[in-house]
Amino acid sequence: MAKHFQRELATIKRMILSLGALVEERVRMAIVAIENRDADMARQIIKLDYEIDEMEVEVEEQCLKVLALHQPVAVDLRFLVAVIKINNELERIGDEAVNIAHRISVLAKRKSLDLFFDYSGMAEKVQRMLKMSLDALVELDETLAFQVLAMDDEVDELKSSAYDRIKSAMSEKSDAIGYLINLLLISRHLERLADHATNIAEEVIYLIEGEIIRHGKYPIPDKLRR
Amino acid sequence: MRKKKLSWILFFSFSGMTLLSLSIAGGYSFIASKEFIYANTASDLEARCNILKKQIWEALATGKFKEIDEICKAAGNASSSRITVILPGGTVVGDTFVNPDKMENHANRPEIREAFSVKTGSSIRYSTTMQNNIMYVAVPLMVDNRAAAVIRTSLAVAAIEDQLGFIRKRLFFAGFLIALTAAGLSFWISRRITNPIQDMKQGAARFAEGDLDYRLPVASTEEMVGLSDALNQMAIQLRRRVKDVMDQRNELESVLSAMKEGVIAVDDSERIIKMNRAAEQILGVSTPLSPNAGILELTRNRDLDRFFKEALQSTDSTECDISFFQKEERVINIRSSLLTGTDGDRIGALLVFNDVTLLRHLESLRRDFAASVSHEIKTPLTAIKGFVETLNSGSPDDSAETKRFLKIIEKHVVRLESIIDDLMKLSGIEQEEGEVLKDSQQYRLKEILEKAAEICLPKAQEKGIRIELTSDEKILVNVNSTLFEQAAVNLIDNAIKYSPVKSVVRIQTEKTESGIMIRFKDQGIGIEKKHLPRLFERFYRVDKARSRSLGGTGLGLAIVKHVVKAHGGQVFVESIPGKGSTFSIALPRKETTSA
Repeated sequence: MAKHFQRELATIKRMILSLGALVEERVRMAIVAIENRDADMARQIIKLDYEIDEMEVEVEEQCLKVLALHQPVAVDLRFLVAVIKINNELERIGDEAVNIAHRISVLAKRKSLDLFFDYSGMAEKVQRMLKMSLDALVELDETLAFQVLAMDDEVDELKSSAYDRIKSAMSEKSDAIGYLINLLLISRHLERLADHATNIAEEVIYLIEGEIIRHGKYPIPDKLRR
Repeated sequence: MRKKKLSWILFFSFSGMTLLSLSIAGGYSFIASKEFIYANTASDLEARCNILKKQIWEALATGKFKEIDEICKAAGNASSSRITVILPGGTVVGDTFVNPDKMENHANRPEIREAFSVKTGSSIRYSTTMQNNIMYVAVPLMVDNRAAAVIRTSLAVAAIEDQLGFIRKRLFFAGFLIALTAAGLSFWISRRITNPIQDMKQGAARFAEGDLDYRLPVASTEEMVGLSDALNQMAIQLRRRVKDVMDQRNELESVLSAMKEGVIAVDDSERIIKMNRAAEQILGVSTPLSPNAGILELTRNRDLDRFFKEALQSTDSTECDISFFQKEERVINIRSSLLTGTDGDRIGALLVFNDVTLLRHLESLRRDFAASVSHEIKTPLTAIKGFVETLNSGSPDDSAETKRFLKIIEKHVVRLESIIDDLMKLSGIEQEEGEVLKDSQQYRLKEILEKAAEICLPKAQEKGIRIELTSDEKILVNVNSTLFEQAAVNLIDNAIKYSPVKSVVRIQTEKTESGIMIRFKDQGIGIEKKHLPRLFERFYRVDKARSRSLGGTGLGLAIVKHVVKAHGGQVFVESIPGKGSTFSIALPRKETTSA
C-alpha cells in the first residue's frame, strides 16, 4: 500500500514537471516572439495553449484521486497541496504566454516603429525565475526559492522603468498610442509571469518548511540576503 | 533458542565420562577390597583355631576343663580376639572374656551347628554377650572322625569396618583428586579444540565485513589447517575477484567520463541508472544525481522526455535531434539503443548524446550557400540574356535604345564580375589562411585605416557623411595590409550605405588586455537581433531587395570575417535597430606591437 502510494506520488511529480517543461517551452516561445515580433510564433502559442489546459486538469485529477484514496499526512499532504497550487500557477503562466502572444500578433501587424524598446533583459530574468522556481521544486532547494523571491523585486523595478519610458514616449508620439499600449501590456504580462514564478517558489518553501510565507510576511534568512 | 557452546559440551561430556568411569572403578575396587578383607579375616580366625587345636585336645583328653578356659583366656588376650570352646551338646567349656559356667548353651548357634557337621562354620551376627556385630569362625576338633569339640574365634565387625572405612576414605580422596585433575584437563582440551574454531569464526567474520587482506593464523591440527587454508584461499580469490570487478568498473567509469559524447542509461521505469560527465554538461545538470531521479528532474525538456518514452518502448534503436536551451540553443543528436540484461531481457535503454550544433549549422550554411550562389549569379545572367535577345531581334537603328541596353548589360556584367571577384577573394583567403601572414609586415594601424577611409571618401561625400578617425599613432599591427585594408573598406562602405545623410561614421581604436580593438560605429538603421548571428554568412542579407539595390554582393562581411580570422582575430557586431550598429575587430596581442 505504502509502496503503491509512493509510486503515485512519483507519477504526480513527473506530471507536474512535465507540465513545467511545457510551460517553460511556451514562455521561451513567447520571449522569442517578443524579440522578433514573430506573428507565426504567437499564433503557435495561442493554438497550442489547450495542451497546457488539458495537462493542468490531468494533474489536478490525479492529485485529488491520491488525496481521496490515500489520505496522506504531513510532508506528503503538503506536497500534494503544493502541487495543486503550483499546477494552477503554471496554467496561469501559460495564459500569460498566450496574452503576450495576442499582444505580439497585434504589434506584428503594424509597421515597426523607429522607437525601439528592448524587453530582452526583463524577459531573460523572468525566464530564469521560472526555471529557478521549478529547479527549487525538483531539488527541494530552499535557497534557490528565496532567490526567486528576491528577483521578483528586480522585475518589478524593470516594469516600472518600462512604464515611465513608455509614458514619456506616448506624450511624444500620440499617433502610436495603440502600439505603445500593447508594448506596455507586454511588460505587465512579463511582470505577472514573474509573480506566478514567485508564487511557485513560495509554494516550494511551504512544501519544505511547512510555513506559509505569502503576502510579504516572510523573513528572508540572513544567509540569503544579498 | 540459545545454542550451547561447543566448549561447554566438550567439557561436560569429558568430565561426565571421567566421573562415570571413576565411580565404576572406585565402586568395584571398594567391593573387591571388602570381600578380600572379610575372606582374609575369616581365614585368619580359622588359622588361630587350628593353632589352638593341639593344646585344647590335650586338655580335653585329660578332662581338665579349667585348663581349657585358661588357654582360651591367655591366647585370646594375646591375639586380641575372643576364643570359645564348645563341647558337643553346646556346653561352653572355655571363653576369653566370660566365665563359661555362666554362658548359655551354644548348640543352636549357626556356626557351631555347621562345625559339628564336620565343616568350618562361620557367621556374622549380633552377639548379645558383646553387644556388637561379630564375625564368628568355628572349627571342629576332629577325633576319630567325629567332632570332639568346636573351637570358635570371633572378631568384632566394627574393626573390619574401620579398615574398610579407611580404604573408602582413601578411595574418595584419590577419586576427588583425579576428578579435579580430569575436570581441569577436559576444560583445557575443550578449549584447545574450540579455540581454533573461534579464531576461524572471527576470521570468517572479518572476511564477511570485507577485510579480505586478513589472513587466518595457521592452526595446529590437520583438519583446522585444512579449514584455515581453504578460508584463506577463499579470501584471496574473493579479493582478486573484487579487485577485477573494481578495475573493470573504474575502467568503464573512466572510459565513460573520457567520452565527449554524453551517455545516459535509463531503466525500464525511466529512472536514470548512469550518466557521464559529458551528459551532465550537455543537459546543464549541476547537482549530483539523486537516486531514482527521472529525466524530467534532470532537465525539463519535453522533447527529450518524449524521446525517452519512445526509446523505452521501441525495440529498435532510434535517433533524433533535440534542441536544448541554456545560454543559447544547442542541437543535440540523441541515439538510443536497447539495454539487455544477461538473460537477454530488456532492462532499459542507453542514450548517446552528441552535440551537433556546429554540424547542423554548417549543413544549413552549405545548403544556403549553394542556393544563394546560384541565385545571385542567375539574376544578372537572366537580365543579360534578356537584353541580348532583345538586341538580337530588335532593329539596330535605334542607337540610343541600343546604348541603354548595352549599359544595363554592362552593369550586370560588372556585378557578376564583382561577385566572382569576391568569391575568389574569399576562397583565396580560406585556402591560404595560414599563409596570409607570410606577406604581413608591421604597419601603423592608423595609416591603414586612413587609406581605407580615403577610398570610401567619395561615397561618403555623396551622402554628406563625415568619417571620424581617432586612432593612436603608436599602435603597430602585423598584418597583410592589402587584405586588412579591404576588410576596413568593406566595413566603412557598409556603414556609409546604411547610414542616413549627414550622419557620422566613427572609427576608433583601443588597446585592450588581450590585444587591440577597432570599432566602426555608424548611426544607421541598425540590424534586428535575430539577424545578428547569421550576419557574417555568405550571401546573407537582412533585407534582400534593399541590399541588392545598394549594390552589395552579399559577401563583404564574409570577407571581413575571414580576413580577421586569418589574422587570428575576431569580429563582433552590436546593433540597436533605429540607433545604429557597431562592428568591432579584435586582434590578439601577438599581431600587435606598440612602439
